[in-house]
Amino acid sequence: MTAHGGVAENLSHVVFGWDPMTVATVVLVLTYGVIVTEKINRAIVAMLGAGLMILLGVLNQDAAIRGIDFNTLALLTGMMVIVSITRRSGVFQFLAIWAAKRVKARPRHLLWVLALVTAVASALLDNVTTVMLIVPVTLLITEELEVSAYPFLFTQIFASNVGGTATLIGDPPNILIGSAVGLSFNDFVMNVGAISFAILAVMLFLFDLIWGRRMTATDTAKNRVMGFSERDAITDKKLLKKSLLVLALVLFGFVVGHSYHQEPGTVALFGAALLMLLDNFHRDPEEQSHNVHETFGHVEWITIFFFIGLFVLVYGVEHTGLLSLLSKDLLVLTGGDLTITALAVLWSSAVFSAIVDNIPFVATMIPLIKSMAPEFGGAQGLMPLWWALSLGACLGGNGSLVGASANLMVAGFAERAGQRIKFLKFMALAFPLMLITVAIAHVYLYYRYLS
Amino acid sequence: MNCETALIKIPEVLKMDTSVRDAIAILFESDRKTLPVVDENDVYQGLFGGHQVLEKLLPQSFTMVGGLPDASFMHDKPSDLVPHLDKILDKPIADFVDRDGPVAKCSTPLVETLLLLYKHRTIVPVVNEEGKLLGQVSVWSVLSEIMKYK
Repeated sequence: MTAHGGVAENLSHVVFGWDPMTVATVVLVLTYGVIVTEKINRAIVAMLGAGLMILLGVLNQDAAIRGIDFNTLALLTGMMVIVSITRRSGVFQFLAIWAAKRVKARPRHLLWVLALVTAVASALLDNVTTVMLIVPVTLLITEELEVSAYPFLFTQIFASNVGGTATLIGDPPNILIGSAVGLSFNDFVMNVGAISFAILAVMLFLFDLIWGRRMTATDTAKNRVMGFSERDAITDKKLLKKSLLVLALVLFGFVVGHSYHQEPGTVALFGAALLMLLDNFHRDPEEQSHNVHETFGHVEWITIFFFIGLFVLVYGVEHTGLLSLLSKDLLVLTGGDLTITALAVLWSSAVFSAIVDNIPFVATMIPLIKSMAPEFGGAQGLMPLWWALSLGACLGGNGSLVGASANLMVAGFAERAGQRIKFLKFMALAFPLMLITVAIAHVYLYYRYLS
Repeated sequence: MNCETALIKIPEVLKMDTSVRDAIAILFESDRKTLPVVDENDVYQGLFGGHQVLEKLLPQSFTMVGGLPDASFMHDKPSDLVPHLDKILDKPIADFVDRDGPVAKCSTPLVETLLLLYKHRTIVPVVNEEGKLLGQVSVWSVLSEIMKYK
């Protein structure tokens, strides 16, 4: 999680002389417990938990700040700013309408292409943003086609999580893992990119069996969609060109940056600043202030502060030695065998991520896995475990509506459009399908890294 | 001074069971953008007007929270919108009443009434303690009251 693993210095002056490990564990368990109930906003809970870690003396403020992974925060914030400006150009409506017209608005093929657009966009942006932009167009197209939106929304949830698995920036668990371990954009593409899209292909085949083959729409309805003008969806061509240029530069920066010791956070934040410059330099100062204020307003501060709180919480328990103790227990359970450990990480991550938010789970697993390094011959020996964690946590997010933030975003849209996605109905199909995706990842991990 | 001083009579009141078709006809006839709706006991329920009809003519993807920001890529002809209108014409307006609009009481201060008119850009119905509709205030009724002191 941070470069400060281990207990190198005494950072604890716990109140009443209580045992630091006990206090940290209680605070962590309480915080995660309240997060799981979803009664209180997760950012508030994480920040309260982080505050308790400091106030109770597990960490001092300097140590807490050292525990925060600013690379992750910069990457998230930078990409949110870039997307919030890019979306104003109408490019996402363009993509969805263009794709729909390429398949002549036939519902069966539409199910595939919209899933593909969602998966690719989720790989290059974050998956929450992707569904936020694609789902409203999907609802419009399905309304015009007079077909149920449910199969499309279900498919897009899967596509966003599977597509997000493919890259460093696609899904928050990957951002956390990449930043903590120093893995590059290319590392993710090379190790989990191909398998993610192979899994997507299998899922699309299954979705076609379940829904696609039986989907029909009248010619009148299809003609309505064919009457959409994708060119008119682009509302600001100049902004589109600027946004695509910066997006391309940022992606190039992710690919080559690692070789020049440039972290993804720097690349994303610099790209965001460049795009804001291009979007504002022709405006007068007052208009600039208004525009920049609006852009920053689109940053998901709940996610950012949730991460800040989590980093402090996890650094607290890591510092007290709890996680290395747990990792030793896990190694005893797996007999110190890399194959069993990796597969245990894969399956447990998937099941946990389906039930609870995968971000706190991954944030806790990172230092735990890091502390296994001596057992497996150093940092390089841990690589299969990182890919197991990435695949398990990202794919596991498909198991239920609460498994990933993107799922909840889609469910929210569906409810507002009067097409509520029921929790149990979704899970009854999603959980077994998720297990199939993890089984594919299991075979992949075994043959690529463990056999 | 409170909003009672600017209170005026309401030309027409709609009932909850009025059909959308009849309500549109009444709005046309009375040349009003919006009219108050009351139940069988004359208790105020909300407003119904052109805005509620437009909402139903548009696909939900545009009108829901977080929906599509513009519809410039759709080039529907008036005849394409007829099916949307057909779906609602015979339904009672109770299904579409805007219950979130502003409401004032006789005791509501005049400046607060001005603020309600400024924020909501519509008439402000005035009710008594039991919620029964007494009348309305409009931009013009308030302005004419203020002009008396000029």
